[in-house]
Order: sequence, then structure tokens, then C-alpha cells
Amino acid sequence: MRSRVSRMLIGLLVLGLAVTLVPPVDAQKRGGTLTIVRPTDPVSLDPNLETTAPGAWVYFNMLEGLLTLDEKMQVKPALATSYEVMSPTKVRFKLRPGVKFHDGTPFNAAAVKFTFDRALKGSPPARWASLAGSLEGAEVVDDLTVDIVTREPYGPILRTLAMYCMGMVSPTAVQKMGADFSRAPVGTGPFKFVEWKTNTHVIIERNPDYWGDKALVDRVIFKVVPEEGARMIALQTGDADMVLFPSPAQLPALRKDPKFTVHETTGIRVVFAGLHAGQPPLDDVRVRQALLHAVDRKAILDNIMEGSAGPARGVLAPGVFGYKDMQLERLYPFDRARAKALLGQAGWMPGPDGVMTKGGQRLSLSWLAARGRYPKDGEITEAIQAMFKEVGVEAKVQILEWAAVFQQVRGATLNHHMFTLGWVTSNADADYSLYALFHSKQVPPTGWNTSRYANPKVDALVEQARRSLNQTEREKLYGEVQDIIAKEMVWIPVYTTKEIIAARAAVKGFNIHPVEYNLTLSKTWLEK
Amino acid sequence: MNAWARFRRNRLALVGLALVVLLAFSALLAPWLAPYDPTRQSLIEKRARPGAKYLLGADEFGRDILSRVIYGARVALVVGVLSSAIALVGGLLLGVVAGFAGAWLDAVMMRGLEILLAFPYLLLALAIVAALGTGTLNTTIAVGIWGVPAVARIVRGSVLALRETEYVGAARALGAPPPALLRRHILPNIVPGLIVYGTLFMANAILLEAALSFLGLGVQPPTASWGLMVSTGRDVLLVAPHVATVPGLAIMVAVLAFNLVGDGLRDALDPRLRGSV
Repeated sequence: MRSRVSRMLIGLLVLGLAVTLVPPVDAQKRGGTLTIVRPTDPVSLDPNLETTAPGAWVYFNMLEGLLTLDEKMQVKPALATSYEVMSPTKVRFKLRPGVKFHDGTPFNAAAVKFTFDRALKGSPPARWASLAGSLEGAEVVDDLTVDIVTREPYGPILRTLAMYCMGMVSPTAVQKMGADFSRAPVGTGPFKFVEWKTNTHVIIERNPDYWGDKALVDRVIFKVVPEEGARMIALQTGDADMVLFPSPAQLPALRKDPKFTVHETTGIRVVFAGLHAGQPPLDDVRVRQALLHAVDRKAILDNIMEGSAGPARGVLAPGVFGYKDMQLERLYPFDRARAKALLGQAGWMPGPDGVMTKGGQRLSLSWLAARGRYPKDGEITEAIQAMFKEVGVEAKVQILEWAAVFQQVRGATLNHHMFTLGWVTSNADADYSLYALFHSKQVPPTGWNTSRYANPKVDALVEQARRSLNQTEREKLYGEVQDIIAKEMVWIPVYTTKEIIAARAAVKGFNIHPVEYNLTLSKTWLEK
Repeated sequence: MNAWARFRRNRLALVGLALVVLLAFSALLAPWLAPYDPTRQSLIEKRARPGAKYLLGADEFGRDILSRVIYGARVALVVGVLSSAIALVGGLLLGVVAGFAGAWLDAVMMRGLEILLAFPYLLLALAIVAALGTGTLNTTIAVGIWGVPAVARIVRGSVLALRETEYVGAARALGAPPPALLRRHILPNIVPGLIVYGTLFMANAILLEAALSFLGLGVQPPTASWGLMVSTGRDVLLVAPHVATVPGLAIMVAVLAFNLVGDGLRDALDPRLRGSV
């Protein structure tokens, strides 16, 4: 009996392996034009000036860095073939030989140095310079060898170099084109630039001289369609092959329809309701904990996100190096009685209108949020506002345009208790977030510690982890940091994004990436 | 035949009046009429179709749309009435001063108002909201200020015309001081026209409030505003059309009602139409 079961299991296992090993039956086809619709036009196509998704989606296919992050968030070689750690502040890279930029300029160590000098020593420095830790620049060793130098030991160096915005640019093109470079960048990637009509479209085409596997489609057109509904109609009518930011409410129907494929993967952005820990009443940890207990995060996930997002398990998303599950479900289950009890401990008692009061003051929180910056950000804010009301906390929400929210949250003084925000760990290394978001010296306007959180222990740990080059040690240190933050929560983490792209079923070979910016199109092909 | 009798004979105006009364009623009695608290959420019942529990369905947070439409009438009417008052009082003052003072003061004031009139209406309101901030009160002020120039021009025009009439000239010749001229002879002739304009303005005010809220610059959540409801409902138009349609209909009905009443009043109060049908 047992042997039959085990034989059956082995059989299943073999079958399972066979299924995964069989190559896809579809033969790749070359040619055709891939049309992509997305909500916004790039600010620029130069990574020095544009680090947000609308530009990155396009330039990521034209510019390549020394390293890249694959879909499993592993660092992979791109324009570098190998590396060697020379000292705690120096990493030596061997460059891929025989690579040419789209304008024919050879790619070499001088080009790497040129790219980093331009970004880090330019005035102003590149938009991404503040996100690159202590990266200092590049030194030419010989034509195909380059040293990347940091000011102090910098643990996340490889992941930082693998970020989407670290693409190498052609020195001759930059010198020749000047400011125009940002509208027609020249890199080494599988696609090259053709045309950009502002607020209409950007066109890129296959680079026939690419050093690796050449792109399969002839051209890619990125069209601007701001309205969500209009983007979905474009997909239905065949005007678009692929939709970025599809409508969550329409996904269930799309998943069932054989004419379409919904590509999705767990993303690495955490969207949260931030708490200003530096000002009463949220400087009291019990009040913050009460707010976490008051929020039914599952209901939000099920009914507002409707399957288009995953649960937030902490301040980092799973998939980020150094991530640790904060066990929020265990620490802060949705429990109104506990929320009220904690508020009671902090001295807040129900007032005449149901809102908690203490010493004649009402528990009223002012809250800044935008609508549409992150999926359903306005809606989750309104939902939490109603949940707060149930435990006697009044939230006065101000929905403003994103730029206004950004300015206040990143400003030197924040006169609001709460804010709705999202955060992507772009290089998939905990340093990028835990340092910038929770180190006491990173309070705006310097950095991104928008909660104005300060804990000397956390400061010491993130500094130590940044300087260490021992990845096991770093992972352990980040675990400790997250344990401390979990007890003193200055966020209400709401969800982890899912990256979702809807496409026609005839679009094949596309692999969606957990980092929104990394839209790889070179392996994508069209069946008809 | 007096004005009310003439108004009564206009069936459409009566329908409009009935609708306005209904709106006022629901706004006043909202806490008693609404089946639910308009901000009460029940996420699990999101986008519930119209049925026994929610007569007009539920929105994306599982809030009762009927209750929100009833409470939305409050916002619409409060903004409408207060902004009309701002527009009428402000316009009356400016118009009378410009019309009476004449000369350079008139010219300066009118050119200033014409500059305001040259702005597309939404742009002007947006600029005012941008300066004052969002919220119900600021929306009301923005809508009111937007109405001032038009009222001022109407009043000034009437004052200029009335100043030249024989009976005003006679009163002046008999030594009546300007305040008395205004009170006794000019204002009584302007007020009927202003009432008509004010009623028609209500319709525009409701529409502008809805537009500002639709753009996220007017009334802030969770306060129920029709424009805000349409705005959030448009994302789910294909899957749950009732979320945007019901408040959209409310806006339409309210605007139509005030227009019908305004038209009826104009016909009833216009001296030239006296005696006609």
C-alpha cells in the first residue's frame, strides 16, 4: 500500500518535472509593433533627470547598467561580466568586450567613468544620487576594467549598481547633443530611440547590433492614455497590446477571457498610512498601536484592492534583501476593544460626541493624502478614516494633488498627523529603505524619515549594516531593526503592490518584474 | 393679476418649485429621512446593487447611496444659497456704487470686473480655491465670488437706466438725497430682477460646486457631495453604473428645478410680459 502511494508520488514528481522541463511549444516569432498604453508621459528619458516610472519604462529598454536585477530579484551581469572586491570601498569590474552604443561609440571603462562623473559630479547631481548611498564614482583601470569607489564601506553596492536608473550613456552623444540628450538618449540596450512626441507617444526600435539576444519585435510604441477606462477600451478594441495600470475592477473579467492575459507578480512597494511620531498625540506609542488595532486591513485588501495587491507584512516587501516578516497579524490584529483599551491606557476617554478626549482635547488627527498617486490611495484613506471613527478617533482628511502632499511631507516641518504614502525599495536592498526612512538624521528635508522617527538603537544598527560587506551579518542587523520598529510602529502598512499588466493573449514571452520600473521588452514577441 | 397667480399658471415652473421644495425638505430633514448614516461604511457590501436593503444601492465603500444623496442635498443647497447671497450682496453693492458714482470710479470698477469675467468660470473658481484651500466653506466663497461680476454688471446697468427715468429725475429735482433715491425708487425696481437672477444662479452654483468637488477641490471626504460621488463612481462605471449615475441624476434634477423656477419667476415678474399668457 505504502509503496503504491510512494510510487504514485514519485510518478507525479517526475510528471511535474517533465512539465517544467518541456520547452514552450510556441515558436518565437520576429517582427511586428508592440503598442503599450500607460497613464503618463515621461518627464525626461535621461535617468539623471527622471527616476520615476513613466520615463524608466522607456529608457530601461535602451540603457543598460553594469549589473541588472532579474525577475527573481537576483543581481545578474549586464555590461559587466565579473567583479572582484578589492577593498571595503572599491569593487573592480571587468567589462563586456565588443559592445557599442547605438551611435557607434565603443563602450569601455571611460564611458563608465563618464556616466558616473556626469551623474555624481554634475551640478545639480543626478536625481538618483541621493539614493546611491556613499557611491563616489568610477576609476579607469584599463580599457575594459573599471573600479567603482565608495566614500565608506557600502554593503548594498551591487544592488545599487543594478538599479534601473544606472544605465550607461554614450559620452559622444551626450557631448554632441547637450540638453537634447534627455529627449533622445543613446545607450547600449536592445532597443534604440526613434521618436518622442510629447504627451502622444514614444517610439523605440530593435537595435540590430545588440551584443546579446536581439529584441524580437521591430518596434515598441508607448502611448499616453490618462484615463483608466480609455486604456481598457484600447486593449479591448485592439488599439493596444499592453496596458500598464489596468483597472482592478475589470481584472476578474479579463482573467477569464482567453483573448487576454493578465501578467502579475508581487511588487516591492509598500503603501502605508504614515504617523507623525514627533508630535502629540502620536508621540505616544500606545496611541499608535491603538490605531493599528483599529484598522481592518483584510477588509481593505479584499474589498478595495480586490485582489490587485498583497498584504503588507511590515515596512519592507517580501523579496527585498533583509526583509523580515513583522508578524503584524499577530502583533496588531484587527480588534476594536483592544484599540479602545490602549487609548484608555494613554488617558483618552470617550467624549460626548463619541470622539475620545483627554484634558479637554479631542483625539482629532489631520491627514494628508493624494488620489491616484498609488493604486486606490484615496480610497484606503477614506476607509481607514471610517474605521478610526469606530474607535473614537476623528481623522480630518485633506485630499490634495500629489505635488502638494509631497511638498508638505518632505518639508522641514509637517503640520499634519498622518499622510498616505508608498515606498519602493528600488534596489531591493533593505538599506535603501530602513536607512532613508527610519534613521533620525534622515528627517526631511534631508531624507525620507517622514514619520520623524528617532531611536538611537535603530540609527546604530542601520549604520552598522550599511558599512558591513558581510551579507549574512547585514541580514541579521536588518532583522533586528525591523523587530524594534514593529514594536514602535510609525506606519500603518496597508498593502504591498502587485505589479499588474494586462495584455492581449497574442503577446508572448513577456515576464513581469517585481520592480515597476524594470519593464523588459526584449524577449517579448507577437503571435500575430 | 399678481406675480404668484402668473407663476402658478406656468406648469413647468410649478414642477420646478415642487422639486426645489423637495430638495429643501430633504436637506432640512436629512437626519430623519436618511435610512443610514451617510458615512457608515460596510466594505463587504461594496457596490451593492439597488435592492431592499439599499434602495439606490451602495457605493465603493458600501455606503448607502440614498442617504448620501439626501445629505448631499444639504451641501448643494447650503453652497447654493450662501454663494448666491455672496454674489447678490457683493454684486449689488459694487453695481450700485459704480452706477451711482459714474465717472472714473465706474470705469475703474467695471474694467476690474470685466477682467474677472474674461476668465473661464472654472479657472476663476479654481484660482480662488487654490488661494483659499479646499473645503465646504471655501468652495462656497469661491462660487460666490465667481458670481459677483455678473450681478454687478446687471445692477449697474439697471441703475444707469433708472437714473435717467423721469420719476427719478423728478425726485432728484425735488431735493431727494441719493440714499433716499436709492431706497425708494431704484432698489425696488432692481430687486425682482435680482431674485430671478439669484434663482438661476443657484442652478449654476450647484453645478460649479459639483464640478469643483468632482475635481477633488471642493467638499472633502467623507462629506457627501454629489460631485464627489460622481467622481469616485466613474472608476467603476462599467461594473457598477449606479454609483455615479444616481448622484449624477440628483445634480441634473436640482439644476433643472432651479432653472424652471427661475424661468417661471422671470415670466411672472417681468413687467413687459404682464397680461400675456
